[in-house]
Parts: sequence; structure tokens; C-alpha cells
Amino acid sequence: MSSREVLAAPASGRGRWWRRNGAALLALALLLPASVGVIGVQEWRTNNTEAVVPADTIPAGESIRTEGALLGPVAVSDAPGAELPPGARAVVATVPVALESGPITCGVSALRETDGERRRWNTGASVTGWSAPRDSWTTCPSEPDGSDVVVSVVFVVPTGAGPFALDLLVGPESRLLRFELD
Amino acid sequence: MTAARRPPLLRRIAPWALGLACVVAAWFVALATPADTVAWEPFPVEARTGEPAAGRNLTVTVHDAVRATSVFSGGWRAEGTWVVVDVAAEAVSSERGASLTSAQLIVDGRTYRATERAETMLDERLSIGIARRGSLGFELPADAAGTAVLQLALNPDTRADSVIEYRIDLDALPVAAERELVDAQWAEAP
Repeated sequence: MSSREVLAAPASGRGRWWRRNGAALLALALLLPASVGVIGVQEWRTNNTEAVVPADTIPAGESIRTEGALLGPVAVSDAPGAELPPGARAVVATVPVALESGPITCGVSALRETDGERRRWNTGASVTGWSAPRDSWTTCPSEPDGSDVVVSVVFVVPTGAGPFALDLLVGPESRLLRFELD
Repeated sequence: MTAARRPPLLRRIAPWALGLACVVAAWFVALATPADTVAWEPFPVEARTGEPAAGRNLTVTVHDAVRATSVFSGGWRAEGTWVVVDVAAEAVSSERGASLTSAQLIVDGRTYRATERAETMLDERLSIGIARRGSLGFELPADAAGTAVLQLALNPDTRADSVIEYRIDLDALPVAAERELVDAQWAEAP
């Protein structure tokens, strides 16, 4: 047997197939998971960008100094005299705001359930039989009477809902502060 | 000698057959592929009388529907061919945008929006888990007949959102001489 004959000897059919398609298979093995990964990351980023992320989360019973004011601690109580159907309760959230360098802009964005179904309540509920305290505001006033302001809002929630957090938008850039509630 | 080197017939035909099979398969896949618009089509939720029908952020119970030749609300009154539906509705997960702003009746391919001439459930702000109840009134042509579909949603733009649908047989509806269009109130009295 000559050396020429040895070199020309055909490889087995399976070996030839792997040599011909090995590179393509390797590319497929790399590109498939890469495609899934890229699409997944893109979806995750889109989702995350649209999610509401508070600038600060304030634990229950605590306050925060920001935008030239001391906000909190936020108190919650049942609205006295509220006429609601069975299975409902009116929750009043009260935010004390101590202005330290003039008026600020602030407004309650929502009441959120921090656990379970994570439901979200808006302000502006009309509750028959209850009226807000005379000296309270629904948003921070542009021309306050003094340096202490009380923002007070009411929500109608099903009994058993909670625990809650109150979302407050503060300052010209509407920074979201999340006050956890007892 | 040359003929001996040619691959067998099956091996020569196989790539062509495989290619053709792929083209045919692609054709079937293209046939079975849903249109682009399917991704944001509304999700219909069938409602039955007296049973809550729950969508993404809207739960509706249709209590009854009647045909009336006259409707009234407070000091307002109107004659005509009316369908008055008594519904209770509540939000599910968020009060943001949770108002019953889309209420329409589809009859024979035509869409009739709920009347705005009286205070009703239309545009009513909904609460989570606490139902509001009231009327919706639809003024129809005198010869309206057949099956109508009541569609209720939180937003007139129902793309990728649920729509509560309730079928009404106009010919079998009880007929009342007059019917009040009731403004929204708590479904259960305080």
C-alpha cells in the first residue's frame, strides 16, 4: 500500500458528516441560546423600565427630609361617619408636611397594597357622610398659611385589604416617595 | 467506471425532496400563522344573567335587560325604542382608569353607544371589590330585532384588553311601557 493510497482512503460516512456540519452545528448551539437570551433581556428591560420604582421607601412611622420639607410620618385611620356598603371601609391617610424653605409641590399618587394581590387605589373617592378635616389639603398648597401643612386623602377599600403603602409625588421632578403604613 | 462513482438515485433525490417538503411545510406554517393584529385583539368574556363575568380589571354582573317605549331619569323623559340593562360593576386590581367608559350594543352589525342623556352607569368610576350598580340605556331603531351583543369595557380602545360581552335576544326581551334609568350607586345599600 502506497502512502498516496493511505491519504486518499475514505473516512467513514459519519465522520465526514460531522466534519462538514460541525461548524454549523456549533454556530447553532451558540446562536439559539444567544437569541433567547437577547430577546429575554430586552423584554425584561422593557418591563422594568415601565415599572414604577420609588425613589425612596420610608418605613412605617418614619419621616423623610427632602425638597426642603420634612414629610411624615404618615398616619392612617378609618373615616368616621362614612356611609359605605357592607364589606367596605374608608381609609384616611394623613401626611404632615413641615415646610423648611418655602412651599413645595406634592400630591398623593395612590394607595398600594404591598402584599397579596398588590391592588392600587386612586385618590378622589367620594365618600358620603365624611368630609376632610377643615385645615387639611388634598395636595401641598402653593400658598400655605404657615410652615406646617397636613395633606389628607381618603380611599374606599374592601375590608381585609392591606397592608398598604402610600405613594406621594414630591417636588418639580415628581419624585416618588413610598410611605409604608401599619 | 463513471457510472460506478455516481451516488445512488435515492441520495441524489433526497435533498430535493427535503427542500420541497420544507417549502410545503413553510406554506402551511404561513397559513397557520395568525395575523399581526391578533396580538392586540380584545379578549371577550361571556357574561350570563346574574353571574359575575371577570375580565382583566373589570367584573360585571348583568342583572336584567328590558325593552321599553319610554325611559325617564329625574325630570328627564324620552320616548322611543329603548333597551335598558341593569348592571353591577367593580374594578379588580387598580382604580387607575377604572371607569365604565365603553358601553355599546351591537345590533345587526351596527354599534349603539349607551345614552349620555341621563346619569347612568356610563363613565361611572369603579371601586376595587365593591360593586356599583345602575342602568345603561340604548336607543335603537323601531325595527331592531334579532340578537344584540352588549359590550362593556373600561376604555373605548379595547386593544389587548378584556371586553365583557352579554348576548340579548331582542325578540324575547320583556317589554315595559316605561323604565327608569337608574344612576350608579353602591350595589349593596350602606
